[in-house]
Amino acid sequence: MPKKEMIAMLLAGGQGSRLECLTRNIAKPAVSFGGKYRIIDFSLSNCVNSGIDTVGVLTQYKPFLLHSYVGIGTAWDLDSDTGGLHILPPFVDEKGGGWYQGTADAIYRNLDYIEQYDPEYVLIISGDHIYQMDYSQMLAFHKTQKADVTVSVIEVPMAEASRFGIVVTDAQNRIKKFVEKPKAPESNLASMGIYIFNWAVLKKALVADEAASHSANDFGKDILPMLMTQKRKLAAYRFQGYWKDVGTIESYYDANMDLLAKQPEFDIFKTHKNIYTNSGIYPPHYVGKKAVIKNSLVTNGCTILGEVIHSILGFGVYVGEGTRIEDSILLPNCQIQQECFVRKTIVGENTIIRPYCTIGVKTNQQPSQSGITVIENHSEIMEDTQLEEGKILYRPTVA
Amino acid sequence: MRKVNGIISCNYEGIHSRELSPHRPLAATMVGGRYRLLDFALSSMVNSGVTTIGVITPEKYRSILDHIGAGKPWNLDRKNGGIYILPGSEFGLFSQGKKFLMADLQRNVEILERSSVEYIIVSGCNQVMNVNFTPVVDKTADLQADICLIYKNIKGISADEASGQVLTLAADGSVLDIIMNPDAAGSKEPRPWFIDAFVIKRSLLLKMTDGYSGHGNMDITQIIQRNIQRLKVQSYEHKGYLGRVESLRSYYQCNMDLLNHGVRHELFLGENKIFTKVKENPPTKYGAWSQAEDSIIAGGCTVNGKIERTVLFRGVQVETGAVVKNSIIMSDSYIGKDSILENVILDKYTYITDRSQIKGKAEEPLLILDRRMKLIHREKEREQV
Repeated sequence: MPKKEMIAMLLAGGQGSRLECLTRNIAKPAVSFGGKYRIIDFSLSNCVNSGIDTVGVLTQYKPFLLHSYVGIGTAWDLDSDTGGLHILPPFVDEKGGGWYQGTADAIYRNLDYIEQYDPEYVLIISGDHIYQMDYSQMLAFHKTQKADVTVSVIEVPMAEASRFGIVVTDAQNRIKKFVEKPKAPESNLASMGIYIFNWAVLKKALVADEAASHSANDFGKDILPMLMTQKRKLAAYRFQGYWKDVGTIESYYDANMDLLAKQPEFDIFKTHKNIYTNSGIYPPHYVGKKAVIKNSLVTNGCTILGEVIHSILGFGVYVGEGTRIEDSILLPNCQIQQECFVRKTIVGENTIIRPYCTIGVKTNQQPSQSGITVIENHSEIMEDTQLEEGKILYRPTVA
Repeated sequence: MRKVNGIISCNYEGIHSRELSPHRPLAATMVGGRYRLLDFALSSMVNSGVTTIGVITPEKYRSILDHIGAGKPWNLDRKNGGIYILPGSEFGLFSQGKKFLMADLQRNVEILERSSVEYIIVSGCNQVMNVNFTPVVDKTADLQADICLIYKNIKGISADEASGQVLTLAADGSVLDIIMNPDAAGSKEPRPWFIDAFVIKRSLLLKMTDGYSGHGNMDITQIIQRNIQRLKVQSYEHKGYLGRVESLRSYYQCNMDLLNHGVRHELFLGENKIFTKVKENPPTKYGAWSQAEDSIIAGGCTVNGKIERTVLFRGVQVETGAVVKNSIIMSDSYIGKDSILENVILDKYTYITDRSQIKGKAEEPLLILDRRMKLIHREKEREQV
């Protein structure tokens, strides 16, 4: 294998359990986003647009859709003989094996994979954020700082800081302190879970961490604090731009709806670098004679006969006559038949809602998750169903 | 499915096809929001299990090569077989009006010689269709025919199609005669029009290239007609939709046909898809003042005005107050504020300034070639660099 300056390791094995039924059967990076995309598209496109041609994708939780979606990376021009995209699931070897125990463990178990490219630097990213970033600029910063590790950080509102790994820096952007989810945060610089390591430093740290019996094998909780105590040089790269974690129903919903703003902060129309996606074969969408569409995103393959207001429609969605969709996200290939009213709802992929249903009915009680209703993929909602707002509807499991 | 190969002849220029675009071959003409004409024949073959397809190129073939590339969207980038670009041999007057020029095959005879299949599917490049060729090949083989011509029963005809061919069929479906350029007035009864696609024995095609070595300007259908007594020529009826782009008017009609639910379903939403080159566009964005009805809209558009009975290709911008009716707007065009367009066809990159009013006739839509958006795009790119 030719030597690489930097390769990327993309952590895509998490369950994303706070996305409730949206991730019951698929991994979070494979969840549909913005009509046309899946969450992992943003990280993969960033890699390609930053000139990284070797990406290891670490998978673990319900990987079937993710594997078939990512394939050998063709959609992102990552099918290459001298690198390219490789799916790295947990595996066994002569000493046994088992599941990845944490983010650091997942990388540790694939040291051989990294070794074969003998890179100078390793970029660690995850597949569950919506953002556009040029990693090559971060690498340039890493080099001028002569750092061992560079952590990409972003300013977050002080009130939310305790949800993140918080970084305290000096005037030269050196990290003085790193605390994972502090109760009393000392700054509002949050780690974005994006790290550039000198390969030698990473390797040594992972081996030491694996030997430590009490470690949770996590980059934020274990590796970074360990390197801090070793007085390694950790730098903070301040990222400016849109970056959104889509880990909860509310943040997922909000990040989608952000795209509908008049002047979106993250404008998929104005980015001059492509966001690549593995799109299926669909014809242009059709808008019927009585259709009304306002403030919405509509993807190929849709047939819209009813009203769609302030909503996002994925591939191949069908909206029947007399149906009104409001403030909702309809995931690929779902079907809302005639005379329905769907409000502030995330409708799962391939779900069918039969005629005369009302989804997201307002109640007197305080609804959970800001009143967002969620229906799992492949569900079927029978005729005339009324579903209250804030409900999470799982598909009945076959015993 | 028996193993067969395909040949698509794109070296065709009809009497009226220049109306559409002076710089783009008919096969690369854009239809239906995101397709090029060639996609339909190519996808039909691929969906019928054909994995080796030769494409005969016309004179200006850059856009065809750009579109096909290594054949990836059709799963034709393969070690065994795949897509073969066959350079066309003769252009201009020599080949005008010829759909399947003998000289083109003679020039590329290797594709026939190196193959070992029994049958070849041959198709033109200007049909909007989704045909399953498998039963046609089966019928040819079962009846041990030399050739099987595919036809569609069509009532009356437009002047465009006068350059087509009508078959004379026997009760058992065998072809007795091929009538070239039949009387345009035609009969009121449906007649079996040849749809420019047929199945032929590879050995026979090879014999033809040899036997007609001095007659390169003949069309294969002419050769079949001359030898109709000696050959076993069968027919197969295509019952589905067929649109044929021969002129500006039929181009307009084919696009408008796609607004029909049945046609759209048959072509695009069934089991067999029409494949095309993928471009990375975001979804289409509708603004607060948008109005859209009875239209087909591709990805990456921004719709803030009103569109009605219209086909929008990728990346079209319709500004607020603009009204677009009964029109076809090709990729990356821009329609300024408060403009009114009716019965027009805008080619790629057309820039319509604010408050313009352009109306064509319903029976004769107006084509606008402008390309000013191309300069604007280039300017923008320069700014970003």
